[in-house]
Amino acid sequence: MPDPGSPLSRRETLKKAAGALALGLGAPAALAADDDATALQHIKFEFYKRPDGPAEGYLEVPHELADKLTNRDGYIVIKRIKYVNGETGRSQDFQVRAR
Amino acid sequence: MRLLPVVHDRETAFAYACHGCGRCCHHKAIHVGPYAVARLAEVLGTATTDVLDRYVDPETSTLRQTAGGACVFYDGGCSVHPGRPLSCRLYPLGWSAQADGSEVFLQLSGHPDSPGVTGTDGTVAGYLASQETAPYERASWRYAAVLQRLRAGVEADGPDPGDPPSVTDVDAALAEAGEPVPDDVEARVERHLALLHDWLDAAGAPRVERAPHQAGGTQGIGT
Repeated sequence: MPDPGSPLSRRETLKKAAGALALGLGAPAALAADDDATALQHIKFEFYKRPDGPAEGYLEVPHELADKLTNRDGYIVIKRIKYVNGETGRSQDFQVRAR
Repeated sequence: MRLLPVVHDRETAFAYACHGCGRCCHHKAIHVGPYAVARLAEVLGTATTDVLDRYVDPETSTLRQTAGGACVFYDGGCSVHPGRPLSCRLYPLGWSAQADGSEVFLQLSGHPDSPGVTGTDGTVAGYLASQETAPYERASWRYAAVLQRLRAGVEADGPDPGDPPSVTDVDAALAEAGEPVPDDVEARVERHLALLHDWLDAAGAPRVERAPHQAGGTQGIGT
């Protein structure tokens, strides 16, 4: 962590740029997970046995783990349901209901 | 019992009839990358810097919402429909793409009160074509290549080229480089991508291999 006001190192500059771009692209944001807001993001997968049936189960994982389940250099574009965590004010979940 | 998420490819039977209820324009996190911001700027007749300042939450790169949870552009309908972001065009699908060219389309469950109707009298590819997603898909793919190079650069040694062009603000990046801002959004984004790759070259970030994008186009190695 550089001192406030000091120039960023090459590595920190690259990480910061990657984090900013990852957010907009919906890419795994592990490199941007330097703050609480990003660390609180989760992905929730729900699994269905029948198209019109109830969810049989779900898997909710933080982005950090989701990165390990998917290719790090991939991305996902989807409308996410946005929840607000009362304590942090900006936690987001991600629901995919597969039919 | 096997519980598997059902995923689609481009040839999967799929259709969706939207009835404009607007429920999918509420309480959603809609991410916008550089291309989406440039398309919004085009529709709004303003600069990407202005769009980012006024309509995008910088902490999440998502469109701002009203106090009631509506998308900032929802006004009984989409006020920027010709420039709506990719996730809005895809809905109720989501698109996950990997660097090796593999991809899946995930289907979201609609709001229980939504009058939207899903069907099977078309294909995913046909739906995407009807929503004119191709330029957005290509841009996502090309900016993902930039992201991949940024990450590769973190792990590789190289010279320090100083501050990068803005990675999110197309017009600002061109202005910082002293370049004119083309009127055509595709040309603007093309120059932005070139500036980013020039900077990555200067930083010694390795070029990366990416498969061609399935929607077609000119994407190849590190471009």
